[in-house]
Amino acid sequence: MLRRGLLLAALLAPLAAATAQEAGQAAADEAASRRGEYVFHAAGCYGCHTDVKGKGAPLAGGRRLKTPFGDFLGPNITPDPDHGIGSWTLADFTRALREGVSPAGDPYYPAFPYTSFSRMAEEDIADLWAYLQTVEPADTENGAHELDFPFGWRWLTSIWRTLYFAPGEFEAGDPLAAVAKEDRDKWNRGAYLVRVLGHCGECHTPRGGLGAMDEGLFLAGSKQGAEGAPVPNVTPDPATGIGDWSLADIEGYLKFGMDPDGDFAGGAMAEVINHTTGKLTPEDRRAIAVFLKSLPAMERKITRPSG
Amino acid sequence: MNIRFSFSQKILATASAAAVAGMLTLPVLAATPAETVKLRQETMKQLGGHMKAIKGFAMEGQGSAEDVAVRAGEINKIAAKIPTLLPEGTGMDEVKDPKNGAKPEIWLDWEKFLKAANSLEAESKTLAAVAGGGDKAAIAAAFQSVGKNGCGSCHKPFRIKLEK
Repeated sequence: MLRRGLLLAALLAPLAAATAQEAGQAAADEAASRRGEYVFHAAGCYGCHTDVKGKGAPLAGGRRLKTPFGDFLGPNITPDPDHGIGSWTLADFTRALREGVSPAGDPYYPAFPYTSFSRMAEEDIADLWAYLQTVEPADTENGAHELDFPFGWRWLTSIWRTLYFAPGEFEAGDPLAAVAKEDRDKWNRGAYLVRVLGHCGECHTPRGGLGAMDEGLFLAGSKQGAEGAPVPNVTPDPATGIGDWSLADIEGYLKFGMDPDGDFAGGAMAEVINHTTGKLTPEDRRAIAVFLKSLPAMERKITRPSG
Repeated sequence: MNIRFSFSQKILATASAAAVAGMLTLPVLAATPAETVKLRQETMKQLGGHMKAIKGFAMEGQGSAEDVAVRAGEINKIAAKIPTLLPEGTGMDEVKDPKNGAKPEIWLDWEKFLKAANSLEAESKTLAAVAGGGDKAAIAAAFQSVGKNGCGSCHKPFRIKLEK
């Protein structure tokens, strides 16, 4: 009886090991996708890839992004094999984010903020990829961008890239002396969240005639941001920026949209607060606040474009 | 004693009541679009002041729950007035003002706009009731809901911020 039991155990052992291995893999995948969901929120993917107004499926694309160059339509990034990114590999996905190139090798318009995402950490990309696999596939067809002449010529993007796109790795910087000692470890995380994942500069930094961000005016506001609305200066200038906001003011604003005057965010920033900054951990909001406060203050009054 | 009014007295009373009512609504009804925008900005500033003070209690423990209840009641009254502060012709394209960010969508979807204003009315009423109970965590939650579902439900689709 005992021998039979041992025999059975010996026979079943490899099976049990295999199952344990599978279970281990599944748990690892689940953990990756859970971390990826956080990256997804921090990177603000939902906004441009979901047509909320048209009641489109999540991440199925179709959201119109109005810019001075015409209207861009966010594409479907669900795992649908025909209309989404279901036939992509992780390598394709990594190349799209870090180099701004489609699996077929075509350059993307920089409306897709790969200029920021290029410095995403390898593990964040892999986690985000794992999360996107868990999204409900939607067979929504991608609409064509409606661009003004001559921006419809996609090959122009190649020239633009030569001029303005500098791919690379994120480099941890030295916190400025202005950062309080206990906050210095947060500074680098804040820089990564603001510059890379959150791609804040894409709206808050003014752009030149060809649409490249003017890095000398990083986060100093834009008269005509996406959707044609003015975007505020968020450098620490007390008169024209947020220099009179405390760290707690910035954190509170990013959490639920109330500024120090008791006013509430509207428009595009309300979307960002709902989908991105409101979903971050308090530590990450603190890191963003620390980084913003450390920026060089730039006096630059933003008014509406039409006077 | 049963007071009886003569017919002429009744007419007089009705007329003066109407005159008083007229005077009360006068600032909104007879105001020019620019004046309405100004009144709207002042009212919103008051509203912001109440929210700021409530935040002080909910997030930083300053002031009292009684004060929160009073202020929530004030917000409730302001919320009821909001639709009268946004008559047609006072949008950002009609009244050019560096701080007028009332989008034309308000009058394209007036029903949705009213719903947002009603939501602020309901949320502030809830906050006033919760503040009466004095439970700090509940007050903080109700306060955030006023911001998100009250203020935010209108500012998100209908207002753009033009200046800091």
